Amino acid sequence: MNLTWHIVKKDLRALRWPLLGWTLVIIAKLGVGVAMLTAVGTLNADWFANWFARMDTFSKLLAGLEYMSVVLVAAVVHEDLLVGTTAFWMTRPIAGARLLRAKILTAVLAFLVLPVLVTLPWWLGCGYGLREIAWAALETVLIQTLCVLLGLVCSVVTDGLARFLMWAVVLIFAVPSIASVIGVHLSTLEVKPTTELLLSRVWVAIAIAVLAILLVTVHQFLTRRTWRSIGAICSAIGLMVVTGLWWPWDLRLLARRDAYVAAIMEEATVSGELAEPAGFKFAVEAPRLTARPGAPLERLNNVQINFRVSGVPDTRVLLPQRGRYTLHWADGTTDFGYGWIHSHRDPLRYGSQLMLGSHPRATERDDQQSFTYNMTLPAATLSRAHAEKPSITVRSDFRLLKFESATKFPLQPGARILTESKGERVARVESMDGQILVTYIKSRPDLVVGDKLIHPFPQVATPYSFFGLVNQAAGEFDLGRTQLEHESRIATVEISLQMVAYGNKSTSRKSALVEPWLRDAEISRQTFIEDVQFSRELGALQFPTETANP
Amino acid sequence: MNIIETNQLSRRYWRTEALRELNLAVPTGSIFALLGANGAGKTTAIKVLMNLLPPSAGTARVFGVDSRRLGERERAQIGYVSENQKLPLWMTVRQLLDYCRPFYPTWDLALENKLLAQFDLPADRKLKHLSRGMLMKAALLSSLAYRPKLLVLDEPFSGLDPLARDDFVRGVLEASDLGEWTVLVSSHDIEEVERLADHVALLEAGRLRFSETTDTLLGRFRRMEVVMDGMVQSTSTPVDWLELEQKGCLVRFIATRYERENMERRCRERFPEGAVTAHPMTLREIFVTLARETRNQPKGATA
Repeated sequence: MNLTWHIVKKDLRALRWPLLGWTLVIIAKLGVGVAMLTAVGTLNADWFANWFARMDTFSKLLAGLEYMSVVLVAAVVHEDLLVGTTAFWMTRPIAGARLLRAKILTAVLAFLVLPVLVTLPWWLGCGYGLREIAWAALETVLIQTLCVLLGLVCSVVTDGLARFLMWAVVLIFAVPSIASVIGVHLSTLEVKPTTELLLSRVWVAIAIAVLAILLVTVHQFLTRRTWRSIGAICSAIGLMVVTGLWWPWDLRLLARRDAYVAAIMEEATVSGELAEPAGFKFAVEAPRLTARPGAPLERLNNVQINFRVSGVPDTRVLLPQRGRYTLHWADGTTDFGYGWIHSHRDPLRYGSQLMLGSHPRATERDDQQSFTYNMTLPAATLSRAHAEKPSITVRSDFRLLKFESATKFPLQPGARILTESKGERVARVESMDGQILVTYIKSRPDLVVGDKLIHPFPQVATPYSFFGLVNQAAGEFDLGRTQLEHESRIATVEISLQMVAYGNKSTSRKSALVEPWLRDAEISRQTFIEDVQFSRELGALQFPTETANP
Repeated sequence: MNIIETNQLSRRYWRTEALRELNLAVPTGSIFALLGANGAGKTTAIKVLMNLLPPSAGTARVFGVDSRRLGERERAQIGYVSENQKLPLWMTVRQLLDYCRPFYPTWDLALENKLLAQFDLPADRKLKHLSRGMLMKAALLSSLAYRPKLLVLDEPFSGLDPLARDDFVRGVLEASDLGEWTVLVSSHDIEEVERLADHVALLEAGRLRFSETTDTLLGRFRRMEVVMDGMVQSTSTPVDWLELEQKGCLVRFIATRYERENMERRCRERFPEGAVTAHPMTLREIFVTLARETRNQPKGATA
């Protein structure tokens, strides 16, 4: 192992400058993120928004440069060439297996561990917890592993950077081109493969590619039979083509994924009605068939269930989560799926009214909240449902939010408020034409991998908060109107710029919102925390026979 | 006892046969020169021996181990210097030695320092900034400091100026005094090899022409001159007489199986009145004679 480390140290030393450059690219990208999070707009609002957009572009450019690790992997491998007969190591007491171990160690250290370590302060600074860091690190590692694999397959069979680049470019263009040709061919078939089958083929092809890369790498390190390795690569590509065209077995990956997500959702579901506060009454209306918003009216595949909950304390707001529906068929079988619930009492409005210390001026009665549950049925299920009229049960999770705090800030740029992994700050304030233009910079985790595992219910994963403009003395508030939004994503953190105008003259409350009301206003940050969570079944309902427009 | 043995060793590059049924034996402790013109198969033979190339047929054994199975243990006893080897040029001489040292349990630090001084190598200069001669000396140093049992030099003199060649040869010779090792050197640089080698093998078009000690070889080749009183009558040429030429009353040829009494007897049989003188030949002259003879032969024929 000492000799393996000896080779690793040699490789890292040989590539210290390119690696340093690559690390600086990552640091620069994170630096852009820090600049975006801490920016104070000194010039006009448009300039600030443009600056944010430019920084976003710059960060994307730097993120693209990170993929140069493909070339660095080649440099690591080419430090001890596997092709030809002139490499220094070949005549030294260095076995192929030892060299392979050393190169893998170097790649892991340089391209997997290093970026995670460099990015760690950024994640910590963005309030990531241990689990979020783990998933963010996994995402970083997975992306870099793809780069390492691509770099490996081209570098182990080439004898220099020029040939490596040529073959890397060929592979990068050839594989999608071949996939496109296969896709076009499949679309012309009389009997087209199902989505599930296509997905199975794609994943089997990916598995073949990964296995082939590993096989070729090990084979080349151990035997240095380059033509045989190239033959293996060509065979793997051929096998991938055959798989794309003729793989017959449906691995049911989508179904498995859905079942997996469902299991996670189930696990995350609060158990039993025991947690439900006393005094809540659910009144459920008969289901209606509607078209989904934006869909043609003749496509009535959406079942809508309106229900009201009474007995909600006026200091609370009920926030529904995704609800699971179950269709009970006459033959005793069931189908299930998930739908979304829309709440007619917006915690935002509720909270803003609380800003003033008064009871909400809701359109509903104070102790009552209305909801609409929407479930979209697949075509096959829908036609069966029309024929058999199954009964429907819906089970939904609810969270009761409690107003926690209202923090007031003067109308000026301020420090970042970090609540768990959610960051918010006022970056810029400008008075313009009788209105106040406030620019907020917000950040939150945006994990591609594992997001569902961490946050099955992302809406309330962190305390719910929002900003509003309030003049306590005048008894006025304004939630504002979003004028501009721009989002950027840096190392799994979503950074968004939100420009909100308060006191717009076009509002119905214009007389109260113009100067001097604004002059004495403050920004108030409302925070809600979860008080109670519970799960509730809405009861057995009959599948609708009548249709209604949405 | 032979440190290297090949048996019917062949190596093909597609349709080209670079080595043909080579049977070679390198005695332990010898300085063995593998000679041959460009493309004769010297480098291919060495690459197969070092397992840089797999043989197409036949076997090669180094330290009694099949060359395809040479492991770290065997390689730790082999030093290899080649004109074509790609050294890690970003390293300094010192870094190269530091890198190589842990791989060899027998690395001799005192010998390293002695050779470093002897070769007059700048330890802190990067290899890419060294002259070709210096580079070869650095490679030689990194291959000698662990006292290898077998030192393989593949065309080590190519591209070196006379001074650098001299330094290099002197380095090998002086180093060989430091331990018991075998040297296998391939070259077409005959003068330098002559100073080194005690065994010589000649490869021609992938085949072994001969393999013997240098003394034997130099002993059996002579440039013969026969001076006659009158004009020489044309006579048939024995197969072991090469480059026979007659100019007036002077007959010249090269004897390839020279043995004094036997040669004088054979000359008297053909040139009864002639005065026979025999001149020793250098390795280079022998090599050129054989190469010329091969060239003049019809394609496919062997001597």
